[in-house]
Amino acid sequence: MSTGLVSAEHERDLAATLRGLCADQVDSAALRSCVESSAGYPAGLWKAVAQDIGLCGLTVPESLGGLGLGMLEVNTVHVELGRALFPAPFLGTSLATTALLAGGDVAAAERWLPAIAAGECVATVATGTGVTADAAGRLTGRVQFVPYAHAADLLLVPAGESMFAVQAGAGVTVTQMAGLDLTRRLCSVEFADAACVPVGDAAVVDAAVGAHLRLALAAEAAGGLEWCLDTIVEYAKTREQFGRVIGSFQAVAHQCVQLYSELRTVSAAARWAAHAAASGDAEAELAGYVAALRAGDGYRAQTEATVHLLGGIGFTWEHDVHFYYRRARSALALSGGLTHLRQAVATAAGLPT
Amino acid sequence: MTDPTPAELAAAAEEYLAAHYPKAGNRGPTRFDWGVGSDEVRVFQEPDPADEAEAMPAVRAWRQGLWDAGFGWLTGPTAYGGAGLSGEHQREFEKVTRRYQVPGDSMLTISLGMIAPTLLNWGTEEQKTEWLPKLYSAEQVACQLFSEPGAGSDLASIATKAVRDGDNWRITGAKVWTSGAHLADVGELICRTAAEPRHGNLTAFLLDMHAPGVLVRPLRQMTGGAAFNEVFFDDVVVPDSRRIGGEGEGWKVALTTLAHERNAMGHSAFGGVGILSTQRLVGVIRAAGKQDDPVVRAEFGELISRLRAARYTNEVIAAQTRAGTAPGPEVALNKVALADNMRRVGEFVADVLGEAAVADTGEWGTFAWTSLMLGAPGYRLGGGTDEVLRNSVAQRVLGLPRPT
Ligand SMILES: Cc1cc2nc3c(=O)[nH]c(=O)nc-3n(C[C@H](O)[C@H](O)[C@H](O)COP(=O)(O)OP(=O)(O)OC[C@H]3O[C@@H](n4cnc5c(N)ncnc54)[C@H](O)[C@@H]3O)c2cc1C
Repeated sequence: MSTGLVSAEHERDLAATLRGLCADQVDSAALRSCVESSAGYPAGLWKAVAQDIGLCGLTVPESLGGLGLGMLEVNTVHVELGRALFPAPFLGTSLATTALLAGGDVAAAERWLPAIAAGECVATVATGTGVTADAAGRLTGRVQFVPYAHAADLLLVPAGESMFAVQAGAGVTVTQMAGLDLTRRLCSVEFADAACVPVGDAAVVDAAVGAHLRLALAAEAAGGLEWCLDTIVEYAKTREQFGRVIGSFQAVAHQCVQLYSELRTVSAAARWAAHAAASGDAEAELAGYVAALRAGDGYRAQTEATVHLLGGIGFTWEHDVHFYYRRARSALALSGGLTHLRQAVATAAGLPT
Repeated sequence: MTDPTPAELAAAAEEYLAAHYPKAGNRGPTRFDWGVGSDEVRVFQEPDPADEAEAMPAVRAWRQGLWDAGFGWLTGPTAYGGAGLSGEHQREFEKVTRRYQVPGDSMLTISLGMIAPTLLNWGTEEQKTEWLPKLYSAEQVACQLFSEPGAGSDLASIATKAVRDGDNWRITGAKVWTSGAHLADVGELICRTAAEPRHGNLTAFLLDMHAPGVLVRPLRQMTGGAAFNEVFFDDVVVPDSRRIGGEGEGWKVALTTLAHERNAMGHSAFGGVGILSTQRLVGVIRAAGKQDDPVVRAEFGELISRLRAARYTNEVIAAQTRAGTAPGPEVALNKVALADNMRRVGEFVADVLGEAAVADTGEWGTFAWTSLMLGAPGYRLGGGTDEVLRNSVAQRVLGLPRPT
């Protein structure tokens, strides 16, 4: 358990590139114009990330035009994207990569992964049920909560025993849902006799996608908590009340320390889980649920604490903290919610049923 | 002579241990069987004095044997009797020892984990040459004489006085809550040696606990045992050669010891099959027949997620340390988390066991948990309270101003 727990040089380079790009292009004003736009993300930023950096090819094998990297790099990338609340369809696209690889259908992988890696095909994955496939291989039904389906060229949808690939177009109607998280769009997708091809066993793909999602959201929480800590420590050192800076009040200082402590735990748990997944550790499944639970709970609680410590300004639309609070709440629900995660940890830790 | 590789060291250790100690049996250190062996889940080692008096010679013999065979201080500098090897060698060695029934070092945590490293940092050449071999071979066992009745969290306000008397110092005062003082041969003692200013008026000594004028009295703890003591000094003479660091540098010496303490206490020595063992907790739930209760399952999941996350945090920090980033004052948070997890385990188990946790039915692994419930509050105090450690992180890591 040594290599992999600490980020490698290429990961630090990647992180620095993304951090620089986000600092330039995803500042508060940019975030707000995304929130108000209908696409939800700026095309220029997406092109820079998907085509120039090649981020969408992160876990696509080199033979299919990608970078051939794994969950450690997914961890590094999502820490940075989470820190900036990067509002673009990366998560769905990388989940789709995992889905296509887990499905094991070589033809499907060869057909779509090179385009995904090249940043030419935006993809997403639906996890909910509600769609059925008929004998002729056409999909009908509705799935909800699909990230960035409105921007996707390719949708992966479970129906019955199989996972299907569907191209945007005839028979596929996407509607953006009003969402709590304004920096990650969720959609409702209606299929009416849509043409599709099976790409693998639904249960197998779902398990792989779920594991990837938990690791990505845990890493994002670590990044978001970094933002919260930086924001609140700076504020606590400058905001004065009763003639002194509020950080000199022990009640405030201890809440800052609590936030810092949760950040350490969440980042370590996310990193450990990514390492376990990358190295095929026997504890990988448990570690993934542990990371998701600690991240989900910690992010939710500490974004709320950040709002509180900022005082009235923290409750304004004008301050960015509410975007993080929204992200935290939304991410926890997307990873299954507290009770589900707790039960999953119990089972993965070996409590027999 | 070239150093052994970690694997060569492990082989040599295996040979030594096999010749001196029985194998741990086929239940390895990672297996736990409900109902088998001892059901003790103590936070603090507090055997009754007769058992303890019996155990101590075995612990000393274990350390002396290791020392003579060259395994006593693997990572220590060769100048002071260490083997000059890496942390990797140390870990390999520990792996091998877990396969044997050995007395282990748990009674020597303060001696080896806190006082010896402080001497290595602060001692003179003579002190290091004399004392480090004595401590690592357990010829001498050390305790930490810091807290006083009037100075716990506010350690810099201690009142025990040391006054110069030629080449000696004369010490008068009292310490309290001193773990293992009744077993110790020497103690790291912090005294006031000048009036003002605060933090610059303290000096550290290595005190002979058998010297005339030293009185150790056991203090009964709320667990019922007596692992700590009060210690009185009535005009005790200490030669100046036993001063650790310069006159007036006692505060800095104490901080070194506290840093080692907080680091050592945050490591989950309670993991494995110990009191924070997942398998032990699964055993409790099954013994109570509650494995299908969805509320119990959820609470168990919450608890396990915290225990694992704390372990993962320690492992990531250890990996960062190996990669060259030394941990700072924030490692104190590992101890805060560990103490919090002990409390949570106690609450969870009490809830699952119900009455069987508060009155002894004679059943294995039930009433035994009371020693964890009673011991856990002590872990939040010893080595700095939660509040004091948070203050330290707020000021030294986050750079927040001191309360005015
Ligand atoms: C099991 C055990 C073993 C120990 N072993 C040793 C030993 O070997 N050697 C040794 O020297 N000492 C030892 N101690 C003593 C221990 O270090 C002290 O008990 C501890 O530092 C707290 O000091 P105190 O007991 O005087 O409490 P106090 O300092 O009086 O604290 C009382 C309460 O006030 C709070 N408080 C105090 N100051 C502040 C502040 N600035 N901000 C916020 N809250 C504050 C504390 O958190 C606590 O809740 C041991 C204690 C225990 C319980």
